Amino acid sequence: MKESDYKEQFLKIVSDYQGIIFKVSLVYFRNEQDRKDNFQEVLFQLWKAFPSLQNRNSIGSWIYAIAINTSISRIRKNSKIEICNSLPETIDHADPHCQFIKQEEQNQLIEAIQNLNPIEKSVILLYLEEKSYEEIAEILGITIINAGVRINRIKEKLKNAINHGNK
Amino acid sequence: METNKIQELWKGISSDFPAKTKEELWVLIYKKSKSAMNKIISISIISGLTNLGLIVFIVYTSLHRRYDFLYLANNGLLLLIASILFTFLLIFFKKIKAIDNANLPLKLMLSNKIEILDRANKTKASYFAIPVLYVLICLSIHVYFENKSMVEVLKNEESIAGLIVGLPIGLAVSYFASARIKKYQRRKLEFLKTLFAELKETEKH
Repeated sequence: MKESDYKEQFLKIVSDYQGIIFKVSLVYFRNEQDRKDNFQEVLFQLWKAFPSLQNRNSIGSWIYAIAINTSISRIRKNSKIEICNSLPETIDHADPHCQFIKQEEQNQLIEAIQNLNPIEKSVILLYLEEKSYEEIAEILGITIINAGVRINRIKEKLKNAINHGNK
Repeated sequence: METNKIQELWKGISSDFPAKTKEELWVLIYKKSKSAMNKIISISIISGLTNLGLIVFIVYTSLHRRYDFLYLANNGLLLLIASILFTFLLIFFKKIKAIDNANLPLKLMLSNKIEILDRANKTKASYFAIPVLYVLICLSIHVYFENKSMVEVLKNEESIAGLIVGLPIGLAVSYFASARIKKYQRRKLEFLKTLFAELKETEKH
């Protein structure tokens, strides 16, 4: 394959799937600048790992695996990353009141996910992205049963956190 | 709040994000690749020049002191330890590069990183090599610029007094630096082990 075709093929894939990188960065980093830096780092790691894509069945799973691994490698215990808390503005042209309530609920959900530990974040992220238990298990390197157990537990944790926040 | 509602909310979040064009994405990759390359090049140049400088110094000074057996032994030992240390560092970085692969299942990636950091953390070689290397370099430089044989310099009270004052200060600085690096490594290792334990915990259930 010609170099330009190779590059074009890669850019087509990351352009189509860039939402995954955005979401993983959103879950792992609270600060806008950290999210941007992580986005760039994940892109770079994907570019480096692009030749290995041919061995994978699903492009989405490949991007998730690299995005999660890269993000986890970048976070550190007690890092400054945790200090600032700014959520991205979403674009919504609906009724301003409904938009406000929706935005509030979305912020609560993001906040609840951000308060989970890094492993729980990756599990729930993949679940919310409607990945199958098999795919979640493959990406994280755990068994399918364990993925299921963990998902149920985190879902409860999330519901409690959000309901508690509403009271 | 029900699970469906959570999923619905999540879809709302994930569908609204500022998408980048292919050109913008390529600019990000290009900039990152360039900075990664610059980092590698500067590390290679610094370590290469340091090693080259040390070798040139050892060869040059040894040629000028061909008949000072003790000085030659000092330089020979210095070259040997520096070479061993440099080889170990090269092997270590090669191993890190080989396992630094984000394209693996998370658990495997974590266990690889833990293994290599654990090994680096357990090795106490730097605690022995740094002071020995430092003393040998100091002796080599000091003796050469004193323009006397090594035995004469070691018998000179002024030289001994200078070494007694200078060596502990240099050693303290190098120990402080290596202790800081070790502390950073330990914290990183602890964090990775916590994450790994979290993944292993799920397997018990």
